[in-house]
Amino acid sequence: MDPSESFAEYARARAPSLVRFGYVLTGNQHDADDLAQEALIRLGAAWERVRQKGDPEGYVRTIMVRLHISWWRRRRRERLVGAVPERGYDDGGLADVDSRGGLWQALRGLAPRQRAVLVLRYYERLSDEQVAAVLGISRGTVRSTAFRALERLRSDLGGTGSAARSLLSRRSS
Amino acid sequence: MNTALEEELAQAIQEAGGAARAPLPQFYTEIERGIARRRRIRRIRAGTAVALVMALGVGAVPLIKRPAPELRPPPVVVAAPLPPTDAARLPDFTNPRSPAEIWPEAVRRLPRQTPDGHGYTPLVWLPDGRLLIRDQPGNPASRFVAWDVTNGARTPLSPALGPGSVTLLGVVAGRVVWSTGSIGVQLRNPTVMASKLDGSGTAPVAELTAPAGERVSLVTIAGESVVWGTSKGGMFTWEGQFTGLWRVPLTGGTAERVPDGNGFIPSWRLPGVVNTTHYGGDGPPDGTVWDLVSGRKVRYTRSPQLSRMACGTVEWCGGSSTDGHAAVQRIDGSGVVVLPATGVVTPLMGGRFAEVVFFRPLAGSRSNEVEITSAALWDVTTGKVANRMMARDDAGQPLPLVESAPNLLLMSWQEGDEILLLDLARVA
Repeated sequence: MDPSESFAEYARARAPSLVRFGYVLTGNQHDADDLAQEALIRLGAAWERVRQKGDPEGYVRTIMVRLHISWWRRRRRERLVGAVPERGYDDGGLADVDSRGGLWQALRGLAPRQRAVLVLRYYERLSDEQVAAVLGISRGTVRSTAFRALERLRSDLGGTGSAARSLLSRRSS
Repeated sequence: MNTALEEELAQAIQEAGGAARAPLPQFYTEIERGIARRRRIRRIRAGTAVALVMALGVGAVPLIKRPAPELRPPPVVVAAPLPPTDAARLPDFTNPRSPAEIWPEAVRRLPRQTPDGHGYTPLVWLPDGRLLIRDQPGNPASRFVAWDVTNGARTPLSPALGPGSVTLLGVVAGRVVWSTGSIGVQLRNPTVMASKLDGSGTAPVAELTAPAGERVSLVTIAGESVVWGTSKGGMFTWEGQFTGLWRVPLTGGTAERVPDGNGFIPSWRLPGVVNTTHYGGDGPPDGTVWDLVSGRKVRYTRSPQLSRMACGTVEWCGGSSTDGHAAVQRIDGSGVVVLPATGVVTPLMGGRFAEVVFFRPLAGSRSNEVEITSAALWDVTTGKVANRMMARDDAGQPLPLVESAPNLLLMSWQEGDEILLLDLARVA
């Protein structure tokens, strides 16, 4: 198959999944689209080389995670010097999915690297070693980041609604 | 996985992922274009690298690589007084006190909720003394409301804004001009709206569009017009080639090119101002700042001691030195003042104030990433310094400031049951 055809086939087959991955990483549809799109552009430009190595999915998801963190940091710095009046970005779809006592909202309040660690652990089901490889950090940093992120979620959930309190009581029982 | 929280978390993330919509057809078209663009750039870079090697010799190539930033504080260097102030004596930026202590005349205290029990985000004081707020932030029913804090009267100005952030805000000619569309990202064209301050209606002003193959970069309000830039190339929309400026009156109409606007991009920080380089390094060392309202154009030169810089049509610019330290200079590149820590300085309010943000290396990072450690508001006229970090997010990072129109800047933060509002225009 022609390389451009095989990439197009791959992109069409995997894009919905990558957008979903981007959605849980970023917390909104627009950034998810941009993230998946930019990662696929980079993959497409290196398609022959990456395909020969046999793991385009790992390649593109690693790009997405790293881009997400670096974009957020860069945007944060740009916003510090910018006239953007309010922080953050909300998306209408998120309210619909947050039936778990504010857990998703609390997740979105985490720093991007904390969120990325949790997404890779609990959405992608990666081991801490694999998460470390994706993020380019040590396994110890992965574990400490996950610990702090979970502590933060516990803390945040402690102040929210009945579903969260139910969750907390289940956890402590 | 061994706790209920982790189990619930995995479920919540799975459900959230399922709520994402499938990519639109344009998604795939943009990928094809993006790949072609990257290949084109790669060919150009390869050609440039070959030419450079041939011209300078192979041994010259490592000179292109930039060294890692020096994060150790050097001694303060004052090459010349900083206009428009006498900067020979820099203030102490460590442990700045609350703005309420430094500028009590400019700080107002309000309850954390409006009289009807809603949370709100304060945005700007209106010319008639009412406070423009976003009612019920985070709620899709959220809208702009003019709140008379003296008698509690609240006038809804806009329809429901939906859940998105406000990405453009200005108060001009009896209207709030706003947009909730993401600006500076791909795939969509934000619409700018205008809501009358008497609450009598909201109307669209312009959909920000770009010619084929280009994209919207940044937008600003210049006098009684909305002006946006277009660009092409680069990863971010504020990078690459600035292909033009477009203007639509606040009363609506057809977008028209701003004459001589090619090569300019709207300023992030200064309403109505456009620049030939976006804030950040890698640009040419000199350029032009153009105030579209007054028509004034000012040439600036970045000192070799600075790596990134923001200028307005004032006499000085702020940024970072080549070793990463916060720094300022005169607009002609002279009078460099390097502050004693890693950070960045940005002029505010036409140069009367500056925001000084300090960084440190991010723990665990292998790529020179930084996190913000402290930030200050600096009155460069009086030398007073106040804590900028009062307004910070849940992650402890400073919230963006609102400069919704020239010299209209509001910073707000919570203390107990109150919201404190700093209005820099009221600083004596």
